[in-house]
Amino acid sequence: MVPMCGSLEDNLIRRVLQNRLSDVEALFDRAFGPSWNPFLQLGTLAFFFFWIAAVSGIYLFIFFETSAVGAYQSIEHMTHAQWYYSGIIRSLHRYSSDAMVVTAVLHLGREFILDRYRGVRWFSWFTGVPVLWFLYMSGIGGYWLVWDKLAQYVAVASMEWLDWLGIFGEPVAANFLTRGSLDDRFFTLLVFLHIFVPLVLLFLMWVHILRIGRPKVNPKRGLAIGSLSALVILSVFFPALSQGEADLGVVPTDLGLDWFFLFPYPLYDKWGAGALWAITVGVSLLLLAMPWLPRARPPKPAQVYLEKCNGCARCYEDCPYGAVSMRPRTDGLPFEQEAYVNSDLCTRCGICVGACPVSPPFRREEQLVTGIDLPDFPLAQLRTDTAAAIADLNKKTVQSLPRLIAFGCDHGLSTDLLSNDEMVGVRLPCIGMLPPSFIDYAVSAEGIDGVIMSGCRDCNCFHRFGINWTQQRIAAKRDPYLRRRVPRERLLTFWGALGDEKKFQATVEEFRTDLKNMAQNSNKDSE
Amino acid sequence: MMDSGGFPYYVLLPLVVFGPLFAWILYTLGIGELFRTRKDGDVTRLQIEETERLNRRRLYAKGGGTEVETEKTGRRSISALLGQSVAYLAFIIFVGALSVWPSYRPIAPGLALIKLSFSHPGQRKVACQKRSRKELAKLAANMRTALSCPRERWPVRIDLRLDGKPLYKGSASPAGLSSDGASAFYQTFPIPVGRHRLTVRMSDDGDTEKFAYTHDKIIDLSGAQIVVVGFNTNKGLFVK
Repeated sequence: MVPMCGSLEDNLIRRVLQNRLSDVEALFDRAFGPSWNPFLQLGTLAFFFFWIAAVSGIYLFIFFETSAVGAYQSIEHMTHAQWYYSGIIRSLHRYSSDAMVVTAVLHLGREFILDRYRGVRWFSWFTGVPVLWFLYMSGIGGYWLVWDKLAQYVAVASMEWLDWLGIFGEPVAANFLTRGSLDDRFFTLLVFLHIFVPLVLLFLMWVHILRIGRPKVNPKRGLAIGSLSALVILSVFFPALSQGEADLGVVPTDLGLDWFFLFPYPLYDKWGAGALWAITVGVSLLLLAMPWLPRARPPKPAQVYLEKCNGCARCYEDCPYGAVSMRPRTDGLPFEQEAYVNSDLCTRCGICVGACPVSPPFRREEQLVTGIDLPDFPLAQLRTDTAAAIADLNKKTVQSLPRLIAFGCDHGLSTDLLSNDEMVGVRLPCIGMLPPSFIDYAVSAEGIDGVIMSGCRDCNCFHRFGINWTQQRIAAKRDPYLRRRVPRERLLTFWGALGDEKKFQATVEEFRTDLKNMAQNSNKDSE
Repeated sequence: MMDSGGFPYYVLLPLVVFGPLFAWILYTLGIGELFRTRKDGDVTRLQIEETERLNRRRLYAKGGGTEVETEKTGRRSISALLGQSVAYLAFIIFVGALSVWPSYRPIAPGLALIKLSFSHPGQRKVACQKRSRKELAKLAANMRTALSCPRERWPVRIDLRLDGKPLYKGSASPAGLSSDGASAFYQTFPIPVGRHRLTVRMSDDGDTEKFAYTHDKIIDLSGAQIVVVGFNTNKGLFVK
C-alpha cells in the first residue's frame, strides 16, 4: 500500500480510514463512474432526500386529520384504501427521511476521515451539528403523528426523557397517562411542529453551505433517478405500515423500530434519562468542538501583491471557497478593481495562483512575483522546483527515453510514483495551482518531451475544482489558457488516488511509448 | 372509510388533482436538475477531452492510425450496470430492513407497569391567620386582605407498597421559587403480572410519621398492562 501523502494529517488511524475509504470509493467508481458515485455526492443526496420528504409530506398533510382518533384512521385509509398512491407517498416520506439520515451521517464521517472540518472549514462542520439535531427532531416528531403503538412508545419515552431536565412545572409525560387523555388540539400542535421543525432544518441546511463557493445541492441526473427509483421500489414492495392504534392502557410490545431515527430509545430504556442526556450533550459538544481538537495550523493564506494585480478577477472566478473578492482599487494604479483575500475562508489551495495571468515563469526577474500568491509556497518556489527537477532530469534520463516531468497534487498519488529514474515530479498543494504557462515553459523553453499532470480522482478533488479548472485551461476554455503552441499530444492528465498506482504506471508507460513513436515518425518525416 | 362496489373510480381523484401538483413541486424544489442539460465542465466531458488528446497522440504516433474508442457516457457497460443494481439493491435492503427490524420490546414478557403520577399541592406550612385592624392599617391600601397566608407549602410524601413490601418511598418538593406550587410525581415500576395487593399512602401536611391519605387495592395485572396510581382532590388516592 502506498500511503496517502502531503498535507493530510500524519495520523495512523486517519490514514488507515482514508485508505479504506479510498478503496470503497474506487469500487463505487468502477460501477457508477466518478460523476454518479454516491460517495462523492453524499451532501447533495441528503438535500435530494429532504426535498422528497418535503414534497411527500405536503401531500400527506392535505389528507391528514388532526384529531386523536382521526390521525390514525386517516393514515390507515391512505395506506390501505389508496395504497397505490397515498400509500406509496407515505412510504416515500418515511424512506426518504431514513435515507437522509444515512447520507448525512456518511457525509459527516467522510469529511472527518478526509480531515475536512478544521481550519477555515470549521463553519460547515459546526453548522452541520444542529442540522443533525433538527433532522432527528423532524423525524421523531413525524413518528408521533401516526399515533400507532410505535408513536405511543416514542411519545411517552420522549416526554419522560424531557421531564428528567426538571424544566417543566409538572411532568409532561403525565399527559399520556390514560386512554382519552389526549385531545384533538394536541395533534394540531404536533402538525405545526412537524412543519416548523423541518423548515428550521432547511434554514440550517442553507446556513451549512453558506460559506462554500458554488455549492452543489442537486445530485447528478443519473444518481438522482437511481436513488428515487430505489425508494419507489422499496415503497411499492415494502410499504411503511402503522403498528396498531395506540392504547395508553397497555405498554406497546414487539415494535418495529426505525433504527435510523429511534436508536436512542432502547438506550433510554436500558440506561435511563440521565445517561442518555449525558451521551446526547457529550456527543454534540464533542462534534461541535472537533474543529479545534486539535486546532489545525495551516500555512498562511493567499496574499495579493497589488503591484502585480491588474484586477482581472480570474482568481475571484476560480476560488472554490469564495475567499477572493474584488474591491475598488486602493493603491492608485490605473485599474478599476483589486483582488482581496478573506483569510477566514482561504484553504491555501493555491488555485488562485494558477488562475493569475501574471505568473509566467519565463521572466528572468530574480524574484518571480505574481498578483496573488501563497506565502508558504510561492510561485517562485514552484519555478525553482521545476527548474531543479528539469536539471535533475537532464542528468539522469537515458538519451533514448522521452523526458517526462510530472506535476502532482498533495492529495493524489504518492510522491514516489511521480519521481523515479525515468521521470521527475514537482508537487503542489493542488494541481489547480499550476499556471498553464509552466507547461509551456517545460515544453517550449526546456524541451521536455511530455508533461504529466496528476490530481485527485474525478469528481473527488480535495479542493473541489482543481482538476476541472486545470483541464479547462488546457482545453483553452478557461482563463488563463494554455498557449496554442504547446502540442496537446505531449500532455497527459491523470486523476487518481490510492489504489490507482498500477493504472497510473500503465498510463505513463503508454504515454512514453506514444511519445517515442511520435519521435520516430517525426524523424522519418524529416528524412 | 369508503365502501366500494366494483372499482371506486372516485379514489383516483387525488391522483388526478395532486399528481401533477406533486410532480410540479418536486420539479421546482430541486429535481429539475434531472431534466436539465449539463452546463459546465463535468467529468464526462473532461474524460472525453483527455481521450481526444490521446487520440491525437495516437494519430501522431502511428502516422494516422485508428482512433481509440471513447468512453462518452459514464459507466453503462453491463458489468457497471450490474454493479449499480447491486449497490441500489443493497441500499433498498439496508434502508427497508433497518426501518423496522430487528423488532424491539420495551417491556420484558411477564411484566406489567405501575405508573405513579399525580400533582398535588401540600398543606401550607403556616396556616392562614386573620389580620387585626392594626395590622391591616399598616399595609398599603391595595394589600389589605383579611387573611395573612404565607405561601410556603409542605413537600408531599408518598409510600407505595406491593404485597406489603416497599416499592417506592419518596417525597416531592413544591414547585416554584417560593415553594408554593404543587408537588409532582411521575415514576414507573415494572412488576410481575398476576394478583397483587397495592397499598399507597400519602402525606401532605409535613407529618413525617403518619399519612393523611391511604388507599389499598387488589389488582390483577396482565402482561404489559398499565396501572395508574394517582390523586384527585375529590376522590383522594386512586388506582386504575
